Amino acid sequence: MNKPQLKLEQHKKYFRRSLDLLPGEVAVFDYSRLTILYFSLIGLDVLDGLDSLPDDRKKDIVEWVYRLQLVPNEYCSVHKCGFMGSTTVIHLKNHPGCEKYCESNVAMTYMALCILITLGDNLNRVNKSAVLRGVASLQKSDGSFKSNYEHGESDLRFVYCSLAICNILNDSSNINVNNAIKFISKCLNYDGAFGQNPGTESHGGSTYCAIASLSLLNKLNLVLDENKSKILERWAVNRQTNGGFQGRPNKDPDTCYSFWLGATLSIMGSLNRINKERNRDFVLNNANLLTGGFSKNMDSIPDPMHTCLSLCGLSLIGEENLNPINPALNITVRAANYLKQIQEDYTLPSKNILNTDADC
Amino acid sequence: MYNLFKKIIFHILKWTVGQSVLYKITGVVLNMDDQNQEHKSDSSDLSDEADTLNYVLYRDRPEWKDVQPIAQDDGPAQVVQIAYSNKFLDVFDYFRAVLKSGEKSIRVLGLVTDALTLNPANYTVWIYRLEIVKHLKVDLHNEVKYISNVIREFSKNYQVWQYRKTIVEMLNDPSGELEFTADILDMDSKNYHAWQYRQWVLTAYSKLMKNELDFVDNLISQDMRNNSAWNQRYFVVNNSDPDNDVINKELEYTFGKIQILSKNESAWNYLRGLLLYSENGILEDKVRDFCSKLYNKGNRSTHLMSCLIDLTDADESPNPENVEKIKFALKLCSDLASVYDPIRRFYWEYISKDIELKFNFREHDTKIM
Repeated sequence: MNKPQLKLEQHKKYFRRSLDLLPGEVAVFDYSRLTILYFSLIGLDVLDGLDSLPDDRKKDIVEWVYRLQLVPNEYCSVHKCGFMGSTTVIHLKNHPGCEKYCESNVAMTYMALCILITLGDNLNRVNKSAVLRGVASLQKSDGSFKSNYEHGESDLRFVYCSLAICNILNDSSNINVNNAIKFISKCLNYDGAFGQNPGTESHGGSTYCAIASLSLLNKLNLVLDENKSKILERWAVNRQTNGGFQGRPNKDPDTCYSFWLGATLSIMGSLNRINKERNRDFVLNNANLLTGGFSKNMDSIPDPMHTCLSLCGLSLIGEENLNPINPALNITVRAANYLKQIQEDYTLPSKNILNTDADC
Repeated sequence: MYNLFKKIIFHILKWTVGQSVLYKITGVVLNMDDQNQEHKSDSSDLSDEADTLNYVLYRDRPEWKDVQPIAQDDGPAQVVQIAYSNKFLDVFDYFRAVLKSGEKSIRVLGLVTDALTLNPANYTVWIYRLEIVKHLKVDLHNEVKYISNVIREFSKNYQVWQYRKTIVEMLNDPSGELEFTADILDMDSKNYHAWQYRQWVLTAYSKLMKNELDFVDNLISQDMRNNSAWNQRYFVVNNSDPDNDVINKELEYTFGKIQILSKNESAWNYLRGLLLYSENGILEDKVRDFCSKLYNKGNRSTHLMSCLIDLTDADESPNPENVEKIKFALKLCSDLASVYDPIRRFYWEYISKDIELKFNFREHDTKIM
């Protein structure tokens, strides 16, 4: 059988389409359109395809993202600040008494920052201290973080997003890092991997969130001693079945886990212990050769998330012509280097946090 | 095999019904290349059209004449637009209006019900629904019935479970919750949301824990590979502050399941979990004994072999008496790499080197048993 080839141009086209218009069937993503934008742009960057977007288009995207920022003012208290995922209720942005309904979401804030960095924005217009205090207000007494302030659920996903935001903005002084680490430790299960909450089943996605979080804090060894690392490594390499990776034991493989587990193993320095060739074949066999994009398996249609994560997974195992990624932040190394550069220019807190829209 | 079949069907369809129909079937919208494409507001599919026969848009309802709908303000740039159906736009235009006016009434309860059917992932609509429910003093038992139906339809959505949790907390009545989650798990016994919610119920109302082991037992009997059920078993046992008797019983239970299905990773992982309760290596001895017997009967489950390697690796006393044991572990690594688990060849080669290094073992003859 011939080796499957990665059709770069087709996948770039797929992402450019996603950036423009999506079919009505995806209306359930109406409140998190920013995630589609994130996966499309990160994916395009992995494909080294950002140049295929006209500068005006990039500018439009940056402006669209900044419109989703909530900054503190008389209608919005600081704990609601950060980014929203969509324009669905943006009309309430400066409407008295509506801050309950117009609030940021920590996953959206994380993705907004990644998008801006990827497009070369220097984050000058991000109200950093408000974002950081917004994140801090989502931390619960058990150390976990909620997705959003009003009735938001809490689990490792939002711990990761919160810590990634603090890492990007280079300031974790507002949150309780020790409690966050305690919460992550409590999610470690008997089989050596992490569940979404203490006691829940180990899962490739939550394991990534735990390992990436600890790595961003530079505290991997604190939670995982040599023995625990070994057990986790075993669990993670065992997720490779028929070439692709599954998220949990005895489940079917799915392309996104080539990223979640690939990145976990990459952070742990163990990626060379998997079968890269078979993993590559599995992912490429789930590319749609008519429309571009990747699906989670043969029974599904492509979507931006699986397309982006498939490409990130391929990049991790050294696929030619793909840009390398930073596995802990899930942006390209190029974007991460740019971030380091602009981080030096941040002038952190002490500025008046009561910036209005117009000020920032 | 099944995937191959799917692929063939896909290609047959491609040539028989034509590409454009195929794209429609697979939900992919063609002709989206043009960046300046007009906003397509009417992209309704067949089921949507059937619905609209009896459905009246809010803008055509006389009882809503007093409300001025508010269109979504997407700003000047068109980015990741969604080709919303007419119904979606209409419902959310009115939702935006009531959110701004703050109206909390029976008719708005109907509106948010429609909005949530169209997008159950919009947590702000759920927040508003809760406020209406509180304001109108809606019978919370009815609300539980409502959310049960929604969850049956969208059982893998985060927000629906979160809403259920809020309502059950307000009611402070978890009496129907185990039955409900059992129902959902009956549809998909590995539904993460349902399990997570069930654990919350059992933690918040610990009296309900008493029959949980029976529930788990039943699920494992139905499907021994159900890793979620094994995890729940650990959750129950671990929370019961188990004594040696309980752990030994669990050990025997697991041995029994492994004897039936030795390639089942879930049971082996559970065994590893039980070893966390071991004191002075007593449980390890039992497990080693069990594994050796199984191996000597000719069983070559990769998990059995891994377990035997781990038991040697965990031994912290590298003395000459262990030489045979170490050789055996190295042979297992070699067999796994070349015969029984070749997909993880690099991993087993690494483990082999790791053992050699740890025990300062320079050369090994894998032929020795």
